Amino acid sequence: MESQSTTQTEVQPTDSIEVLTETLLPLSTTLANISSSNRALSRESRKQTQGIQEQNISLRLISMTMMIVFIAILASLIYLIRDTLTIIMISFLIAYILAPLVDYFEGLGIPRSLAVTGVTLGILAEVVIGLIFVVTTVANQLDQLQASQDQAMVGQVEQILNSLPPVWQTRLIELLRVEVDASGSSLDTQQVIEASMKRLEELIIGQSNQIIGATRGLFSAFINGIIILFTSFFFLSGGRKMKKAFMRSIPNRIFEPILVLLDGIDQQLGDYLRSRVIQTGIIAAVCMVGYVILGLPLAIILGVIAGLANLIPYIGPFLGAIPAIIMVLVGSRFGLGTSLGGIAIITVGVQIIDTALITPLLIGKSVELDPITTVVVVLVGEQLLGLIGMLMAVPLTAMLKLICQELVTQFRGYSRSFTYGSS
Amino acid sequence: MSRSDGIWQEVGKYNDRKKIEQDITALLKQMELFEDLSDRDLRQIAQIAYRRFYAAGEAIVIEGQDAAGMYIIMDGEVEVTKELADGSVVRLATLDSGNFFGDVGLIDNSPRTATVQAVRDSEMIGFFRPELLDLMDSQARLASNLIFTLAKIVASRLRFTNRKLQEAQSEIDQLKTTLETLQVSEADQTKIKTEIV
Repeated sequence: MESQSTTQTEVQPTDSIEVLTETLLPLSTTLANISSSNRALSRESRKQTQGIQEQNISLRLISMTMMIVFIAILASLIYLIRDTLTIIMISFLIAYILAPLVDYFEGLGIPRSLAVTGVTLGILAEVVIGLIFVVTTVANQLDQLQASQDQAMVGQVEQILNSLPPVWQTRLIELLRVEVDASGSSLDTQQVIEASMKRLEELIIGQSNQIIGATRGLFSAFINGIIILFTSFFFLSGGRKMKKAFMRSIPNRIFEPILVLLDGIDQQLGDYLRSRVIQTGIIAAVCMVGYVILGLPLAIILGVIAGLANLIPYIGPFLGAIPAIIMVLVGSRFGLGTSLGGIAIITVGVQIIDTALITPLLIGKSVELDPITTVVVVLVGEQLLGLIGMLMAVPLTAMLKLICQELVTQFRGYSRSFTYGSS
Repeated sequence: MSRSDGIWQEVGKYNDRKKIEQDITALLKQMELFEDLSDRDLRQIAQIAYRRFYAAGEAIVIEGQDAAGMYIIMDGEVEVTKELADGSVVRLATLDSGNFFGDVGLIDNSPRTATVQAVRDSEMIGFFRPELLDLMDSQARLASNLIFTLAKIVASRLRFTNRKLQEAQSEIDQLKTTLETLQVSEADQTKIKTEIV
């Protein structure tokens, strides 16, 4: 039994090795095959990944190109319809400024539609009365200016003619003769003077055509004003419904943050715009009083110009003083030096009042723009929309800054709450 | 049940909006919260309300997020949960049609103290602070009525919280007394043991 068992034990390892070898060899072959096919697969997969990456890069390039093209088209479209956009923007701003007045009347129990109509008609009446007053004043003062200028010119011409030696007087008549008599026919002195007067009339008629052109411009501005007023009316009466319609399209997840964001923007923008209107009004009034004291012609217009020009920081107050300086050259109550000194005092004084009182009390520091940004946006505004662009550039940029600040504040609050809520 | 519609689909949906306002007015009329308000007032409140739809499992308010207003459940069911310091979530309540939540958010913008999510597809009416502030400017009497109603709710909840606090305080006092009695008896036992030794 022992020998048998020994034999058996001696035989067993050999058998086991054979069995193992028989089992392992095919296994190793299979493994080798698998590993080889794996390698092939991984090569294939790498190739595919590379292909997909290349496709992804191409897709990204295509999407970037499309985005750039889209932005370019959008920018061109905005540029093309910039006049219409300006009208919509101004209407929106006017509606924003007038909204508290409408709310006030609504609070008194007047239906909103009636309050909006009343406020709009009131503004229209004020504008029309203001225009009539301004046009009448300007026309009267221009007449006076013209008369004084004519008298001054006649006097100057007489002075010049009298001071000329007789030889030169003759030479002047000869020159006029050449100027008015193209056919070369001989005209006597009287005829030369008459022809000169006729030429002068033609010149005046030419100027009249320019005046007609300017009147057309005024008419166009008046039509734009009416359109702005009507658009403001629709913004005022339908503003709430527009907001509700917009909010209905907002997904639930961001509904509350968007609502709070819009409210924040609404508050900030409303306060800012109303403060700017009050600031412009105060500065215009102060300048107007100063110019009236100085006895400048068109003092009301000059005051309004100074108030509006103040919307352009740094250079605005000085730009606003230029028309007043020109008017001093035309005529004022005091001497040239005193009047120019007076304008300088008014401009600097208004700046001190604005910087020390109005801006800190009405407009917060948060909406201040740095000088470089201010200059750049004013230049861009001027290039896009001319004078209106210059005036609107800073308020619009300040509004954009406020919107961005509110977006950042809300986004921080939202992301904080989201992290807190999901932790 | 339609979800948030596109803005262009909203254009010209005047009749739909009227219908929504009528539905909201009808619902508000049934609520105890608005029982003191006239039909005209309710119609005006309906004009500042938003109707929102939430799918089952969707969060309506999230704990920690700045509050913007309150919600009334028009149709559906919601679950109020709170996350504890150890990260576990406890269910505080389940509310169904006619109930409301987040009312303090209408007055104060402090962060939400709990999360509310829809248990099944639900329809809500939301009132938000910006609109309430506008209403205070344009309809001061109505806004003051609404705020007074809210103040009454907050006051009743404060009374409820105070009662609960008093109950908790008396329970704590009772436990303290028991603990002191136990401590005294332990001291007596120690004294007896010392005497025996």
